Amino acid sequence: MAGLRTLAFVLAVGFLLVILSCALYHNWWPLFVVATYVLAPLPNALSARCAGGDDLMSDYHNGAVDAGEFITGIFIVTGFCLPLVLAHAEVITIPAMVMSIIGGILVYGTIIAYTHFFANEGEDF
Amino acid sequence: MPNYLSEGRRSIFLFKIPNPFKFLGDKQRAIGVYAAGAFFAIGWWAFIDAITLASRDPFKQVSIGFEDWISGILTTLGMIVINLIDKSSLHGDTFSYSGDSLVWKARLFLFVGFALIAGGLAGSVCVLILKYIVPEVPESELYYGIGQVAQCGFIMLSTVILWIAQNTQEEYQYNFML
Repeated sequence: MAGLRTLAFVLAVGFLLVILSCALYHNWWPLFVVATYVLAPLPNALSARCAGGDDLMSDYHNGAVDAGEFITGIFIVTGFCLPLVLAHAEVITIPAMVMSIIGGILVYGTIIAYTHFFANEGEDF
Repeated sequence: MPNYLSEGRRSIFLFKIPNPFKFLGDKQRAIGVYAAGAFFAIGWWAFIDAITLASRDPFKQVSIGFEDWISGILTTLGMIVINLIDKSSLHGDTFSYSGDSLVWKARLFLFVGFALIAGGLAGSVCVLILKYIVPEVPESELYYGIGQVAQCGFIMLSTVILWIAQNTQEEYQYNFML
């Protein structure tokens, strides 16, 4: 249980960093990466659901699962590339970009840690 | 003496080359697909970075035109063509009533897909040389040309990784096709 609370705290700190990177510099462009954080796990989850794998093989891979993972990979990299491109074009400052990217690492790390360690805890069989 | 892998599949190489990514275990296909998606996104974001910089520079000598976009579009189109092919129809494994007319069609589309990707990459290098290197544009504007070459290179890398990840099916994994 302590692990789950730490995870929620880290997730909140991640989002806080992204919002701070916008608010401290009065430039709300980095908020678009929050949209990618929300959208990123969706194709993966949708395609894993629709792929039709049963309980015997939890690792069932067909074309739909591959497509979902591919699009999820695109969203994850977009979450990191958008602040980079914005900072390179000098729309946002370099500290704002660094804060956005660190926030992104925290949020994605939380999502990955949750799905690996905590998502299957409810199963008792 | 033909070279047999497990499951009776013949190898075309004289020496059996072991899969270098086996250390990842059973997750290697998923990691390969994620990496392919990541490289695809990196390629397009490199290009978007280049054209963003170009649009914010009012004093530049070169202007971004359709020729900068076309190589990226062709390469992406080639990637889509390659990934829409049903891999099993390339081997001729599927049982079909009309003979084996599907194999050469699948291989033809595979060739078209690879030709599109290679053409896009070659075209992007062409644009870089003719539009950016020969007129000797300043360093900051050379980046626009390098960005679109990097785009095509990364998309090609993504296609290769996706193909390898999907086709080196581990022998112990069974695919139940519904």
